[in-house]
Amino acid sequence: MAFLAKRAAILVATILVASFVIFAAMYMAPGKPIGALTGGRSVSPQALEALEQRYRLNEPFLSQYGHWLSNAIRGDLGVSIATKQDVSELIVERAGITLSLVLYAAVLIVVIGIGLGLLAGLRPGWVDTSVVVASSAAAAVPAFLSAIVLTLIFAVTLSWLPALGAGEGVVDRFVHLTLPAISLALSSIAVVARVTRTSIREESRKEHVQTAVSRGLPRRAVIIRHVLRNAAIPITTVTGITIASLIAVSAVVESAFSLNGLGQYLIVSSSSKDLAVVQGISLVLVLAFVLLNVVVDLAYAVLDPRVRLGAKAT
Amino acid sequence: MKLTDDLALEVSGLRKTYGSVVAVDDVSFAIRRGGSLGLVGESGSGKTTIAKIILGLESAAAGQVRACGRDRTAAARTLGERRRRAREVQIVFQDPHSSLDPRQTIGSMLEAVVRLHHRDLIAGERRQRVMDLLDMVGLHERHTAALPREMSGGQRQRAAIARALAAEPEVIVLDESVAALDVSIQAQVLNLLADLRERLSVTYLLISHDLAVVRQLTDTAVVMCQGQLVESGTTAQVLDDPQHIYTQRLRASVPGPTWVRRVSATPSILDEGGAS
Amino acid sequence: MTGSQPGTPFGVARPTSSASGPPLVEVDSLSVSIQVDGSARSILRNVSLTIGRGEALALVGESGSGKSMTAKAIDRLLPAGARQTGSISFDGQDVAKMTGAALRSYRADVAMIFQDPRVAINPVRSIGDFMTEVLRTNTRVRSRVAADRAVKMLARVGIADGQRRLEQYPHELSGGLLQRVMIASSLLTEPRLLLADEPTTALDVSTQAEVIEILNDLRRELGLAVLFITHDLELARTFCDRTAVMYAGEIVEVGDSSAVQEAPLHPYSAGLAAARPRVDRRLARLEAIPGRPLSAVEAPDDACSFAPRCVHRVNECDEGHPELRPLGLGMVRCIRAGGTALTEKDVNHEAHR
Ligand SMILES: Nc1ncnc2c1ncn2[C@@H]1O[C@H](COP(=O)(O)OP(=O)(O)OP(=O)(O)O)[C@@H](O)[C@H]1O
Ligand code: SF4
Ligand SMILES: [Mg+2]
Repeated sequence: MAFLAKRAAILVATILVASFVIFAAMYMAPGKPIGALTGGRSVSPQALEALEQRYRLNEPFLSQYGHWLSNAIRGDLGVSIATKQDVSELIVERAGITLSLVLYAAVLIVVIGIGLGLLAGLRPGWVDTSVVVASSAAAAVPAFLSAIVLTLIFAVTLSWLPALGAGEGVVDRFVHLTLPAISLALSSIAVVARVTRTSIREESRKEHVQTAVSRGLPRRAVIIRHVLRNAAIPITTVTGITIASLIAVSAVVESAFSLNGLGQYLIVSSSSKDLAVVQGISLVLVLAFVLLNVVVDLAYAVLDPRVRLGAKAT
Repeated sequence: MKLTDDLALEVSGLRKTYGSVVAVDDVSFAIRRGGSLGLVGESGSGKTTIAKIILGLESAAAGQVRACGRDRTAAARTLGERRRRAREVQIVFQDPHSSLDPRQTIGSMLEAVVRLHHRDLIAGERRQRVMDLLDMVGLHERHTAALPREMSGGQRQRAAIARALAAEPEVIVLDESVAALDVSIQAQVLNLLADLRERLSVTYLLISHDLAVVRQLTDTAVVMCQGQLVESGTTAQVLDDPQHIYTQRLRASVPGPTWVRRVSATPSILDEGGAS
Repeated sequence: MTGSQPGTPFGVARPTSSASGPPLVEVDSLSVSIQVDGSARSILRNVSLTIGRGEALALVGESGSGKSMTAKAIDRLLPAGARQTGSISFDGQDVAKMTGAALRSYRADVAMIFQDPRVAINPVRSIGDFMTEVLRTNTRVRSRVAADRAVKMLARVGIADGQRRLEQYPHELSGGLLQRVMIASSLLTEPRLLLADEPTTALDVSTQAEVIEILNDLRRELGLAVLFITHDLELARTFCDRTAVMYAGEIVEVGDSSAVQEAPLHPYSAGLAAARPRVDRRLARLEAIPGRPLSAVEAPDDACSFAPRCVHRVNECDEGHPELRPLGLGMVRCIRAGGTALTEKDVNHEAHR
């Protein structure tokens, strides 16, 4: 309980700091948002003042932040300067695609990454060597490059999969998101595979595993209950953090595949200085990142009693 | 009452807490110059905390530490003060593996310490001093070029002793310094430590849970239990005629001929197969 | 339990025709080497020993002499890539030939406890889980029954509140308690042999005494045979019927525990006994053995391994590798032993010259 309370307090503090940093960064960013509002046209001073009033551009920084934050907590992220639409609505419209993309990639990472890592960790020899070689290569490929290469091979040359757009309906969406998800997940799959392999190797060498063997437990039981059980701690942590970091990379992949998701919209809005949208999306992305990290922390506590109970011998 | 000058190390009313845990509780003892005191106790009794306070690695909540008649309770402020304190007290740890820099040869390690404390020496004299130190601890000239990992456990511990001696300290704190060594090597190092004390009149504070080692190397002894000093006296008194129940229990726990009877005397079904 | 007998005191030296029948464990000319960077590294050389039913045999020697490897070889736990010659038999069965279920049931018959319970017990599983795992998995005992047995066994090693302990995790217990948990759980499968690899080295002295007392009681009650690994001759004597001394991967002396300590046959055993400081009196000088212990790789095959450190060395010692030969009631691997008595006094005397 004390553990949960502590985590909750840290969570709130992190989100507050993050929201402040986001707001401050936008505030200090070069270029006046008023330019975006007027679209470069000359406007009457009265109109200008009205705009400034409406977007609170003249109030002191802290008071602007306070307004923004209290509105954000109520789900009101303001109005887009470019489209005059409600930012929350804009975000909800596009969140689906980003969410499906990241989820899809996450499933790939968990299934393929951990799967390959298990194979390599438990099967020394050529299986292990191939996984190690392939993952060292894949880990070095950035998402935008894998996007280009995958598109060239599977969309242009082989025409197996669509290269652009998100598709309609569940199946079509799934097909359309396959290439983006793979390019998003590729280097993370490699990282997770390697961490999984190393953790399993390290754990197998532990003395407590030898104890388990010496007690006559079947190999399966030793591997599942001792090697994998303990290796699950670092594997879960790294996998969770890797998946959380996809949130940032998703913007690149969405742009490359013309997906109308949050990341792509973030890029578009920042180039057009659409302040409210940039702040809103950043806040949502940071929130997602922080929450994922909390999930990782909780998983860690569930898996490791030393964290849950605190290290105290009686 | 002895004169204060006569004392190499004096600890009085020492107290240290970590949060709500009292690690050291009102501990006082003194060692005369050239003497050797054993600080006995089990793990968690506060022995190492005391060593750290004496070395200035931890600060005390209350109490005083004096070495060679000079107070060293407060942190050293100047480099000169730190150097002076280093010449008063040095330490040799249990595990020479982790206390020696793995990338530094034994020779350059010793030379650095000699240079720090004798800035008037020229290079040739320094090298001579390093050779003397190696010779003193029974290492060979060729060990100047050796890295710690190229040496055996006993050799590493000798090197650590040489490093402590390089500062020509008044007091050496031996924190379980022979505990990790094999029996045959431990005997060599114990002999070496006894010789050095005789030759250099250096003072020892020996921290150990091994009563036989305490017997072999010290004149006086104090026993600690849960942060408190429960018994003190000459080593012979403490070990032969322990007064405190805790000391008695420690003494009875040492394997030995008396122990055999105690162990075998426990009731058992198959009594005829007794340990002879 | 009634079928087990205290071991023959000098099983190695004597023909195995005594009342207790054949020994429980027979290790015969066991040599082990490990591949290190492509070349074979010798670790054990010609180790032969027997452990009678219900007998406690101590294996004494300095770090790296091969004590742990001997125990691991008996439990078929040598590291991958280890090569082994010679034979190990348990109750007449060839251990090397065991596979699958037979090997698992053999391992349940042979319990092993390790030096540091902190690392030998899985830190993320509860004590109850650790203790009952083998019963539940291998013999399909129901969880409740297994837990009951665990609580009873904990009571026998002096842990009264077993039920509560079962729910705790290793990091919540002190080292001494954890070692008792280790002992209790190793006994749950009703083993016939206990391999105890320095079970008290990581513990405080008074805890060590308690743990040894518990082990001693239990082994007598259960008629357990024990291979007790230690570097402390005195501890070996308090606990074991016979003592085997190892040096550089081979056994250099076997005999009655008191005899090995009080009237050692081999110069190395004598040196070990004399090198240890004493708690009851201060010695003017410890009789340190000069030099450092050799590992099995460094030791010669055509001379006595101990020769470089031996105060009794003569030319003949370098002319061949001594065999382990019977002498008196024990066995010794030294050509000069027996010719002149190597008591502690004599060794001291010679060392002083
Ligand atoms: N996995 C391994 N690979 C290679 N060599 C090893 C391995 N484990 C042990 N050895 C070597 O085998 C020899 C015997 O080791 P062993 O652990 O049996 O010694 P020991 O008598 O138990 O020593 P200690 O008292 O330190 O436990 C040593 O020289 C050691 O370096
Ligand atoms: S054979 Fe020779 S060298 Fe070896 S132990 Fe015996 S006397 Fe010493
Ligand atoms: Mg060992």
